[in-house]
Amino acid sequence: MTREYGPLAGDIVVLGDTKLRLRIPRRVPDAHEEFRVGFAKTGRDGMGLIAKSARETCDVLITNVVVLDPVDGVQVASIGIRAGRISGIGKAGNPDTASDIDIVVGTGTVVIDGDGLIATPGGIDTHVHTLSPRVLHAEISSGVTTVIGQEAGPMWGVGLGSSWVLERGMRAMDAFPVNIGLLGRGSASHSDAIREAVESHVCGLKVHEDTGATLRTIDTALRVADEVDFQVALHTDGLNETLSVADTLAVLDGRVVHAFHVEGCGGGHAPDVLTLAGVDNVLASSTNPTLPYGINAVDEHVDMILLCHGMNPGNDSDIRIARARVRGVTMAAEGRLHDLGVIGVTSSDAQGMGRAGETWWRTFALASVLAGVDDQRGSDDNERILRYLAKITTNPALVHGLVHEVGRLAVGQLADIVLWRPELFAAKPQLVIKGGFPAWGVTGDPNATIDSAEPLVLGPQYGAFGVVPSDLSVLFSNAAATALSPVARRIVPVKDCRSIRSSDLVRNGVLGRVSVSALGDRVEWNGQELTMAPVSHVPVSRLHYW
Amino acid sequence: MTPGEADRLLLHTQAALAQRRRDRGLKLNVPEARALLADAICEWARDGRTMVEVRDLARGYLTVNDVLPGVPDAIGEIRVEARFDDGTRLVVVAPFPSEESEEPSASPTAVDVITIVNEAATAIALTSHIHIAEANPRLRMDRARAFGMRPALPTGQTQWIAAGESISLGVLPIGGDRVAIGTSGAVEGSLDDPGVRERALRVLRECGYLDVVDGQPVGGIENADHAVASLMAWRDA
Repeated sequence: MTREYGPLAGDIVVLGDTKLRLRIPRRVPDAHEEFRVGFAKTGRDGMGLIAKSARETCDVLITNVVVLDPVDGVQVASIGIRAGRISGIGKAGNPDTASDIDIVVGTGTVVIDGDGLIATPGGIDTHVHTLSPRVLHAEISSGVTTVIGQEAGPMWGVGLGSSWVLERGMRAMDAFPVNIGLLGRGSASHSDAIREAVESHVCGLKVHEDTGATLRTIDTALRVADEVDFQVALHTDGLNETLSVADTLAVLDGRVVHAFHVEGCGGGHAPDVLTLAGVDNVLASSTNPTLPYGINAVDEHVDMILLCHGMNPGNDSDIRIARARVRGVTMAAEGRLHDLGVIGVTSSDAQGMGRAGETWWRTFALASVLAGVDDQRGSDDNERILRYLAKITTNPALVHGLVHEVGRLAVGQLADIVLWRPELFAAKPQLVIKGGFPAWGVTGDPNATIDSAEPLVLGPQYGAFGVVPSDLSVLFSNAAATALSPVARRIVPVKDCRSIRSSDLVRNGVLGRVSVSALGDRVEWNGQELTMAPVSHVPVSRLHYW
Repeated sequence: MTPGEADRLLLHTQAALAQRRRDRGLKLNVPEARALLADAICEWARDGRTMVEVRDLARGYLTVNDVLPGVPDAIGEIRVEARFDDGTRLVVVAPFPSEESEEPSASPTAVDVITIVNEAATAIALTSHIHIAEANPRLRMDRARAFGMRPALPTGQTQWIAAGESISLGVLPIGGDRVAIGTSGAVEGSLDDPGVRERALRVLRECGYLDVVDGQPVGGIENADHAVASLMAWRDA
């Protein structure tokens, strides 16, 4: 059943073929005062619109949308935007003629019809190998509006150390309507070597085994991070060459890191890097090819590892160490740990063993698969939907110190908002609003009388052209950066990165003990075996893509 | 080739791939079904068929057995601009019988019912949130009784009043701070301010808005036809 102005309290909205059931617990009370623009509708001067300037009202209004915020939960409301930020979430209209108005709509306000759509915060992908500019197009087409990158082209990066390269990369990325942060190369045994990147506006550091994830490099990066207040992303020593997993924890000594691809096939202590999940000072994330664990997951990974890490398929030793990273049992356990709320973040690992445009759909495909094996499943899936939503929005923002700007649908946040049709939720956005302005979305035949004639193409909107991307987006930097701004966009230092803990992550943050057997063939969570069968069919995928 | 023509070729490529898959016995997914149908519509138009014929063909072209579960809901409606023999035309088709019905919105509770007679030569429609007392001068009603009121209609719906028709319209007070600014220009301020009310009703009546006072009709259509011009003169003064 559909409703003219979007769902009412008590309605169930099904999220496409995930079959996840979103119950509407609340609608901002607007019965008989619903706001809508159009022929004979209420959004007219003296009725729903007040004759005041946009400055006194709002610039942009999104009407009657299902607002999903990982912290505040689910409600049907309108969203007001002023100067690129969310100025109100609630009942929209003209206080002269309707009661309890939260968002005053002026005769100059532009209106986006959100009735029946779902609004989420823009996705935040904290693990992106920005090896080509097209990666950013894949990201924004999937509903991601913040990218933490590690490269500026097809050059070995895993963090950038050169101010000259950083400046070139940041200036190029200014053209894209996404928030950008770049990680500095953190694998260095002297902090002086890292300073150049810090001065040049990196938003954190990457320590990677391919450039050295040793006692010395991890400790050096953490010392710099503690001084500056930014995050260290860590790809641990998969060879256990100088550190085993317990040793990495000893080097951390309680200091916080973001542990990338904690399942392990993306890299890290074999076979037991997954034991880092559930530790309070380790902010664990997943990369998307193992989400959910599918029947072909093991088979694709050896080639992927060889191709991403400069290895040789004709070399037996390369094959051996690659195979050591690929384990079905840890992939199975990873999904369960997500559902338990132990792993709180999903990311892509785009072009470095992950897919730029697939974090949204794989996160919700995982939610769907795990809901299907949950014998405690309730009459709606709201808690699970919000738990998984947090993994791609609020939690990555918390991990990297961005949440004062992005990651929520809340008043004061940068208006990075993705509108989804429920049937296509997490697969393809209807409209990506970046910094309050349409930047990407479904466009139709350019010659047509309407804007939705076939063929429908998910592509750039005006927010993606001219200098507008830099008006709408920020560069995440650090508080100790001293270099002149390389970009036209606003520069925002990350903050509160050193005090964040796993237990702070929204609707996740569960702590406990993951153990992996020495052979990597059994995973336990607090002493109980954690397993699931690989799935032969995942939702969201086949139904929506060519 | 124009950008619109390039899009037509994009649709063709999509439809060709969808057709290959269909030929292998596969059930179509959302983009495949969209493309196959939109492309077929364009080609029926190319064959010289009329809009009515094309719509009929399109409705039966795909069945739920041709597509994956979830496709009918996700597609809803196909819109495509095809080049017919009389030029480019918009075709809108819901290819599958709808499993979803739209729940009608409820009406608010009326606190009064007023009689309105349309003395205009054309139909007049009133929308849900109009301040009724300021509506078209050719509507005869007790404007004092209609003052501060709006129709008790579901939001965004209209009450159609044919020329010469008399209707009984449920009404309720305008909400919020009850300030009317706009519409006729005769009311500016609080609807509950007796001064605002008396002045507005007097001005509307004097300018020729058809009214009913104490059950008796006031004013005639010949004046009502000039009421807006009179109101303009009053504003200028």
